Amino acid sequence: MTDHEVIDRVLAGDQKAFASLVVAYQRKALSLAERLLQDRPHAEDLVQDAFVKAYSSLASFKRGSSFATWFYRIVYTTCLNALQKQRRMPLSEQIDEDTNPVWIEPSFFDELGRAEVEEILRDEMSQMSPVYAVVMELFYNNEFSYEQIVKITGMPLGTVKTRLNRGRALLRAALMKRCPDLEVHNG
Amino acid sequence: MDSDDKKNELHDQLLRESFQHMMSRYEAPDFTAAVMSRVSSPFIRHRLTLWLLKHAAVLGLMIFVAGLVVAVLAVSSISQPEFSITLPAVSEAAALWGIPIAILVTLGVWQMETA
Repeated sequence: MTDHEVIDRVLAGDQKAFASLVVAYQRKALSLAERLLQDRPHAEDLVQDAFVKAYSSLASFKRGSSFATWFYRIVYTTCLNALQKQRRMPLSEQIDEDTNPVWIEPSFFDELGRAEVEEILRDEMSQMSPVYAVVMELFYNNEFSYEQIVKITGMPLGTVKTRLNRGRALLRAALMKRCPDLEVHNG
Repeated sequence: MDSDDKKNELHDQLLRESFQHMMSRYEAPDFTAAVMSRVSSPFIRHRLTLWLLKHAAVLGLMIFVAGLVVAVLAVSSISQPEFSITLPAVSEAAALWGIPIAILVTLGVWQMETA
């Protein structure tokens, strides 16, 4: 059943159908909220709030649009509002938008093995500033396009690309630390 | 996507797979049940209640303004309005104690609001 079919059922009065949307989106929503808040229990509370908000405003959801983008926008703004209340808004450093693109080459995976890359990835993502981690999360974990990330976060396209590049650069630096002898050609 | 991004699609794909493989730690037991219990509460089901709660501040302000307009119109129709305010009989000592208590209460409310 598609998201739109589930929404139709919920709006027709089948409240239990909403559970399938919760099951489908909870993991990635929790992951996104944790990146922003850096606090797991708080992330769980706010994602629950986001689901309740989505449920209560389901009637206003526009049919032509993607439920995922709409829902993650709710999660993102719910978390940002909470951070604003706590005066913990993530700060971004000034980055030059014309920096060369950085990539995580397949040779890292060959050299270190997937398990080790994932371990480094986990460590680095937990330490990374939410400013970059959120964009990384939306792009790699949720597989959103740049345009969808712009819709979710409200950031300009250039900022999304720059922050994603910065996130990759931080991750690449962490991988390079583990295998300094590895010869990789960037770009 | 521009050509640079396309060229590096393979790099991104490997990273995507790793990100998604890490998702298993985001299992939250009873999460679905917790959300469903919240959405099935009669409080949430009644959209009118939710709407009223969401717009309570604006509605309150509108009622206050409407009341004020009615009061002004009613008073303006009286040819010679007279007002008298009687202050409650409070001793000076009680009034002096009232100031720090009012400050403490204000600070407490402010703390709770910003916690």
